[in-house]
Amino acid sequence: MKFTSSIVCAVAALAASANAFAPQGRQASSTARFATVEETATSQVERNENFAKLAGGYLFPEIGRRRNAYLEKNPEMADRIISLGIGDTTMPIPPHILNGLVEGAKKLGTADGYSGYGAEQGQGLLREKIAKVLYNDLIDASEVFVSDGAKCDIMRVQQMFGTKVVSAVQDPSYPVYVDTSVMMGQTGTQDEKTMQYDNIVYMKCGPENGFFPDYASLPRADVVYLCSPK
Amino acid sequence: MSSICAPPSKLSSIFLVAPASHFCFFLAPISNNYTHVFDLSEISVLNSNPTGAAATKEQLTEMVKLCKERGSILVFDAAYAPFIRSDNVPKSIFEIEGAKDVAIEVNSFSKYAGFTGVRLGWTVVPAGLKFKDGSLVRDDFNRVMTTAFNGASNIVQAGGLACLDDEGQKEINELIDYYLENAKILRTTFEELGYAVHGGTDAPYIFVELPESIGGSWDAFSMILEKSQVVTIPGAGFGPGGEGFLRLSAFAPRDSVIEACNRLKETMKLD
Repeated sequence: MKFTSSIVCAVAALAASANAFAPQGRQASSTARFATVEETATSQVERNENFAKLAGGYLFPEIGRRRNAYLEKNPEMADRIISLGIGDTTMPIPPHILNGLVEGAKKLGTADGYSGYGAEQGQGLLREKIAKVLYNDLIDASEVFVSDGAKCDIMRVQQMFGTKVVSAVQDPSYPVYVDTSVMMGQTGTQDEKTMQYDNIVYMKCGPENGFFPDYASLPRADVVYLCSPK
Repeated sequence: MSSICAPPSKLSSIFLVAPASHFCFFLAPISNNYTHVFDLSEISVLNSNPTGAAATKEQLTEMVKLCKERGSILVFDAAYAPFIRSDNVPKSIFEIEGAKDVAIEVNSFSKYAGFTGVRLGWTVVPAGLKFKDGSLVRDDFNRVMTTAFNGASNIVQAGGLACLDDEGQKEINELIDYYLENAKILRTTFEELGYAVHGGTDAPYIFVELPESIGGSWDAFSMILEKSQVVTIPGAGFGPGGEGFLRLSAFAPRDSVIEACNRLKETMKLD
């Protein structure tokens, strides 16, 4: 922590000079942005009003922030912290799968194996294998879009649906469905009492309904987000 | 956590006479009355599914049917599918008849093979799924992908292929077994302490019901952090309906899970 704060000081001092944004390490330059945020002039660009509706930060960074705040007060506890918070995997990638990655990288160093831009939808063979191995051919390879992850795809799905749809989410649920709906402008503001955003259908899930939503008894939504298991 | 229960027939008479969402959502001005609409979202009708966090075939069949009737598109997030071990719990929405008419499925290798940092996922958009004007959803999704994405890393896709051959599948199953065993340890710990616990079977998370004496779920989060240095997630972080719950993840190494449970046995002891 001390190291980081000394960088902040150094960068803050630099910021007073005209060379504040000279190329630096990634850590330092991102710190510089935050360190000088109050000193830079205001632009003439209106803030996207939808982002102003978002309450607080995204959940998982907020958890991290609180953890760090605790550790700043109790630095002696740093070694004792155990995270059962965010669902982040901890076991190493098994050898066969790792080898797939390594060989994939090695190919790029050969004239025959090198490839540049690939199909935006993913490699044909991978799409076929997903359809076959994971879906028993219930779906066709042409229906599979390979990406960098489910969270990114949820935002892409939202971009496709646009601003005018009404989304329904399980409550409680993965925060991404709600936050992306807000960012897209599908919602109103958050009610201070209920903590719910206007224009989202919250599908209550609890022990009383086996954590499965009773969509039939709720207003219709255009897009229903359902995560199972969750 | 207030959950009002009312007979479904009463609800239908209030809401389903209104044509789709246009009444409730788009055209209605935001007024004081508007919030009453959302009070209803707290209403839940009792049923007796004991599985906790993973939906059964019957539940998903009903959901698909409903979405079809109401003209909704279902976005099914199956990122935790490999944790499913029960027979009656579908791993994909496309195991449900008629799902291709209403559903999109998003998924990921993150939890299959420890690819949270490697980054590889996929989305299935059925060829026949259509918007109201008859245009194909897949065409528009393809447009998003080709315009705003350049394809997953070729290195990572090679890793994805390794996940899908026999040896890769075996490795994935072993990894999942390991995390499921963690989930079981967590679940048993809280059950033995006398808490009601949900999830932890067919899923890598457990959801613990908190007694009111503990305060809100953020209070519980802080108390546990301060007293046992274990980081959890307060249920309220997943939406207002999560208040009164605490979520714990089974993704830590085994030693850490056991150590955390030992500490929680002290911290979370019920009087």
